Amino acid sequence: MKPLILCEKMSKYYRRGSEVVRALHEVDLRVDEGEFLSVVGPSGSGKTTLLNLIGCLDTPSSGSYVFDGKQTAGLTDRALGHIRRQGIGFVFQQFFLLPTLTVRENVELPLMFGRERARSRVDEVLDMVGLGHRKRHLPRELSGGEMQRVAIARALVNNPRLLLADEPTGNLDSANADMVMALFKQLNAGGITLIMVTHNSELARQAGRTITIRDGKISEV
Amino acid sequence: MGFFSLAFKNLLRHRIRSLLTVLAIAAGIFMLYSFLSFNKGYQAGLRRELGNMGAHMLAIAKGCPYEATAMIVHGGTITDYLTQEDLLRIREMPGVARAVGMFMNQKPLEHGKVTVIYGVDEEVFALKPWWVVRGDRRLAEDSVILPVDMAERLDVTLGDALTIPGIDREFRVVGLLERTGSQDDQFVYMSLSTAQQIFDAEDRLTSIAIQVEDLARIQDVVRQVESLPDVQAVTMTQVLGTVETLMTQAQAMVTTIVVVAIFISAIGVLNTILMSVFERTREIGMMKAVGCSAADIFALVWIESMLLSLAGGALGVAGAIGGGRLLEGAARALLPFVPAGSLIGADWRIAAVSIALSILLGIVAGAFPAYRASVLSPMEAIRSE
Repeated sequence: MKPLILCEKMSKYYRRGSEVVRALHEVDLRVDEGEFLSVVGPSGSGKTTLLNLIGCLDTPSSGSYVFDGKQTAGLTDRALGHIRRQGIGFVFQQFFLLPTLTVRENVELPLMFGRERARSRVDEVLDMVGLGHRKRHLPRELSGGEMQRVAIARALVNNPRLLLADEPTGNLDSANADMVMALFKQLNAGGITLIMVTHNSELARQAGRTITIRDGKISEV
Repeated sequence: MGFFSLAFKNLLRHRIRSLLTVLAIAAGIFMLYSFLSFNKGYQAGLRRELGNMGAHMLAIAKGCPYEATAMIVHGGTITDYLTQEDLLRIREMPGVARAVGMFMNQKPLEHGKVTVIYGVDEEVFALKPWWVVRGDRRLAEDSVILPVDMAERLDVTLGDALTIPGIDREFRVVGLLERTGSQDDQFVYMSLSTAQQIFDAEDRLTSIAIQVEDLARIQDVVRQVESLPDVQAVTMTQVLGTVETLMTQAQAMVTTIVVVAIFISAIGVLNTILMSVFERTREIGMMKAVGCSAADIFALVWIESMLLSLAGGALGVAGAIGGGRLLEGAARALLPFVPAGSLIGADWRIAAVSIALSILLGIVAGAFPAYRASVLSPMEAIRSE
């Protein structure tokens, strides 16, 4: 299998005043296309930092990160933005839906920045997450589960090869969490590579592979 | 959905805050438009008024030139007089084409208003050939010519009897002066001798309007007129200059107020947009995560700022055009002289300047918040509380 993600001795350090915080330390990770990986670990272990590096929201302090065969070290913000726009979808614990935009407009948002105008894709992904009938509604008219599904549709609208989800069920009840997980599995079965950070070990087990991060280091489960 | 639509919807998220910011800009632009329009209307009105006097210069008794100027253009009471003999001597001066003696005074009415009496002889019609008088132009004793609007207001017409408060005699309306659009529409015209009698000023004149044969040699006439004892000559150019000098201080003060108002508006826009950027930090992080570039964010925030300013500018201009009369009324009450006619009106050049300035205000005030938003790290923005 071709690796979509390849991290070698990837580290990330932050400066907090005079103190240097080691968020990730010499992490090696390979994720192949079509995998469904869950990342677990205690708070502050470095899960979100790993997700941000993989999602090209940040760059490593040292080591290398290759996404889809492209070395990301040294890339400009603009180039990283291009990679995100073309190949990566994000789902956050908070849904970050714009309250004055309809469901359809929220999903359309990434297309606006990408200059693409594939409006039919918006309807397609809304149907995919089962919200085709809610496209004219405002976020305040939706349940938490529906809002997260809108956020997932937004993440999918650019046809990403990788979907990153940071605690996607953290704000949902168990019924809605199960619905989101079912959707993730369906997307993964359709070929999308999925990486999910979660505290919930039961949900993590539903992924094809689980890794644990502790003190900035990875251990496979 | 495009950037403008998104920016507009973002502004609607805090409608009251956006509305207040728009109103602040509108207030600044209202003042700017009103000031520029009033200034332009005032200058044009002043020139029109002076042109309507029909004279190239006036001879008046020596005294305060400002008082004389106010009397000349506005009508009023003057305590120093010329004599009939001065008029005859001026008529004989070389270079003088026409000299018309005038007597102007006023009688008080209720509520601080006055009736301005204008004593003239028939030569005045040669001075103001554009005057259209219905009825008789000849002013006999106890007859008056009334401006048509004043006649309507007093509910009198040709042939009717008229009493003027403060004057113990009855007049007959022999002529109606059609609307001139100038101060002339505010006076009661009677014969020179009648006016002199009413105010116990036989043989006296408040001013002599002079037309010269050759404008290039007007200074020669000025010198001759001023050679008469206790007489000064005021050319229309001098009157214009004097009124404009009187206006300069008021203009400087208003300019300062307008500049301060616009500066405060700009601070308001900056504050509103900056606050909105701070509130949306995580949202901006999400936008960057989904592929939005720094330039996109900059453009979005900048457009929000410009939309606010544009709305404020348009509202300010509309308000100034629509409510200009109120401001004009206040100016008329405060300023020593304001020309007749509408001074604040629709002027596309001034409107364009005002709107352009409001957009510029948005560009300048929005640049810093837009920059702050554009340089946010997506990761830090998403993690921020």
